[in-house]
Amino acid sequence: MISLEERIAAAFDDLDVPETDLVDAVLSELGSPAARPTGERTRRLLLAAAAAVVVVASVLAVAPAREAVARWFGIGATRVEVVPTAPTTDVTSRDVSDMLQGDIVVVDVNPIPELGPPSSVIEDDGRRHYTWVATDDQPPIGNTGLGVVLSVRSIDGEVDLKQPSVDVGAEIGSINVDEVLVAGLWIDGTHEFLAAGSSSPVLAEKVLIWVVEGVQYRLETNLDLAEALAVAEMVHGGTELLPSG
Amino acid sequence: MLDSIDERFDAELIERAQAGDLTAFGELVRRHQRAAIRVAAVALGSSTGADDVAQEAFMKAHAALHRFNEGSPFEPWLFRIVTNTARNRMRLLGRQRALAVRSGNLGAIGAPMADEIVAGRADSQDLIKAINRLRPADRLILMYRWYEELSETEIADALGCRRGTVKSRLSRAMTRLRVELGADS
Repeated sequence: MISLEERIAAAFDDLDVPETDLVDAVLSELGSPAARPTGERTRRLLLAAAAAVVVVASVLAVAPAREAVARWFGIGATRVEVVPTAPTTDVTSRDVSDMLQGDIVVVDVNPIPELGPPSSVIEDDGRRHYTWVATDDQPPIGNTGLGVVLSVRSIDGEVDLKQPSVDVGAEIGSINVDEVLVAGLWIDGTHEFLAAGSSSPVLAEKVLIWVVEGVQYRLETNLDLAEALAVAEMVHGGTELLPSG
Repeated sequence: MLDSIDERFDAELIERAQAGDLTAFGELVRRHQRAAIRVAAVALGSSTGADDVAQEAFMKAHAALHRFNEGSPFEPWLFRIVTNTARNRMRLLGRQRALAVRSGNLGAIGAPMADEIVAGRADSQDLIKAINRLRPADRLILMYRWYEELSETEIADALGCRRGTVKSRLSRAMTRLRVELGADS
């Protein structure tokens, strides 16, 4: 009697995969002038990405999602309940439009076609928060109904990622994005996140933080690291993110 | 900690490749290309283009060799690059998932009787179809554990997840596979 595990092994052994010999092709490419350093390739990608920033202006025009997106969203020193579907009389909540007021310097990011337009775009305390509702591919963060929250801010000597207070048992790992990523951190486990300039920590579970050329990105999802990296790659218009070994 | 002679040989090749020895990197490619192409095929859900993905992944691995952690096994690290590359490729191409099965060649698990080989072929087809309906992450963990026979630590490295979650992920993938197999029957 063959076990299921053995059948699985046999099935994978039975896959029809190409038997291409890659050695010559790889060495040829590495030895050719076309094999540019990764940093140069990435720089060109970023330049292309920068050109696309102008498209982001249209993102702000996107109305908040009609879905019932209710989440306790900690921003700066204020804990805000975001309910884009309708104004609420809850004293702890504010309408999104309120948060768009004020003279705030924020950072644009590329549109992410794979995720579609964000469900809401919120600005507060120098940060811009893009949210997407949960889908089959983007499982919800806790009971928030949101699948992806991307927070972007321009940093000025103070980086949020140095400040999280992490529970025992949480995993902390570093990531690299070729030569472009200055610093990166992956936290998988309950932790209190204290944003720079804030005195009120927020609870989070899975967070990927990285810094590129003076801009800090914080991605909160319920995804694996590999999947979170894939989303982060989209932010940079396809720039490859590599595990750090 | 490198346990096997193969892993220690990989470590020597990596050290030489990090110093600029392309021949050493070519030997790394030769040693791991089959596994890389297979991982690419499973991640893509198709054998078409798997060799291209593997080749691209080797190029990225070469560019990132200076960041490779000395003392770590090479394959889990390579597999992560392969799966990331495959994911990018899928996003670009929106490729449909359809694993193909080579005819015959089921005799890798001992020496089944002739009638079992015939049954085995059909069984393998059904199993591949069921595996094919799983999420890429499920397909990969099943392959890493039962085909590549990676350790929990290596699987965690390859998937980019916590070691402590590997067992539960594998268990869930097995459960989902059994459900898919049940749906077939």
